[in-house]
Amino acid sequence: MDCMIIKEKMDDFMDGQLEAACAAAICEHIQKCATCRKRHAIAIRLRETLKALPVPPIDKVFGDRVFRYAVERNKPYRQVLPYLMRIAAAVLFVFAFGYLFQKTPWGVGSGMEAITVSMELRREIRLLFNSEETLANVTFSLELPKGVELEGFGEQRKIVWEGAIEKGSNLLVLPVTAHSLEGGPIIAVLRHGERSKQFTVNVKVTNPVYNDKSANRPHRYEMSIIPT
Amino acid sequence: MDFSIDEGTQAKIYYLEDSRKSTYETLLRPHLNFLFRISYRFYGNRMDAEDLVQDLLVKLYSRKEDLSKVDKMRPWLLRILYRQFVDNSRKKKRSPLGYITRRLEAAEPTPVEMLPDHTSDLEERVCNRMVFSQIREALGLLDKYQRAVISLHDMEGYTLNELEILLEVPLGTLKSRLHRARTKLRCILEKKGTFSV
Repeated sequence: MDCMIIKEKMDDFMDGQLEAACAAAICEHIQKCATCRKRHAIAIRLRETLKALPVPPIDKVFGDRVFRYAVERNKPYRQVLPYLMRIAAAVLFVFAFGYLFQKTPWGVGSGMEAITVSMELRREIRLLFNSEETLANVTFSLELPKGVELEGFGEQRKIVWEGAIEKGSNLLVLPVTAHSLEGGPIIAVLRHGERSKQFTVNVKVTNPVYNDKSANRPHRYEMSIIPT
Repeated sequence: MDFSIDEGTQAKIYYLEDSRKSTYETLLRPHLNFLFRISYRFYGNRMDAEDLVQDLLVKLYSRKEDLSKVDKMRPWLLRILYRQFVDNSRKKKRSPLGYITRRLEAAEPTPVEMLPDHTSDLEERVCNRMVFSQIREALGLLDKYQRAVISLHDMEGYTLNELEILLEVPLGTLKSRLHRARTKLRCILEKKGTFSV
């Protein structure tokens, strides 16, 4: 039997997938041919090493943490997020928060960004939270200026809810409608334990008759928050 | 008319929620080590393995009523873990964050390198760690399907016939994936000089 054929059939031979006659022929060849014998020995060693590849023990607190997280993630208010994402048919305004919690300085503080919306026209504000790790028990609060409504919340000016942030990107889509020309700041605050981060977006409302092209231009802002 | 919920009803609601939670945990907690081990085989690092288990448990919580109807829990879990792994790998491939994560991980010692070794001979210990590290690196270069089949077949000892049923993947496809995975793995390791003829 040729060495190339042995090379081709080595895996099947070792898996016991070959017919008895073929397996015997290979066995005979391996005994005579030093190269194939070495190849066979290497294949055995590779398989043994693969089986011996160690798996570290599971983290002691992982079990409790992951079950708690699964329950938390399935609470009804968490399901508001995907719902809001689904109804975001058109991208009108995009905001990006960078890493969620900066090591220093802690506490309230951030830049102020501005957007222009047309009165009585539904607009979507997208908040993209990037986090280096999964954070449970994060309190989100959203404060809206007078005359700006979040879809589904009527005239409610302050909306607070608790949730978890996944490692990586977390998208929150906020469909808003301005009912007056007053405008004002939308303040988003994230709290995790003693730490918090605030981001302010100043909303300027224009008359719908006035065709302000900038109102339909997507925006992208970034802010960094890195967990300690 | 008073619509408020009296204390008794409130207590029943909480009790129902607690009992659901406890059934969910009772059924799944015994399999947590198994899920983590297979996930770790798939990814080769703790962070991604824990993420995969977490994603799976989040998904299963919403189907907790079905859990008690599952006849053989472990094979069923393996099947959905595999699907979740394929799904997560697709998502990760689409995300630019994946590349950054990979680069950061490469600079850190792998969990294998940090494990205590029971081999007595120092030279052998160093050699083993190097081989493990090189194999793990080579496994990382396989595609998700190849990694999965080599993890389950060559590391965990499932036969192809078992995997055909467990993963609901045709035998021919599994054979071809395993063949390609081994060939690629050998090729990478030969280039590195780890297992050269």
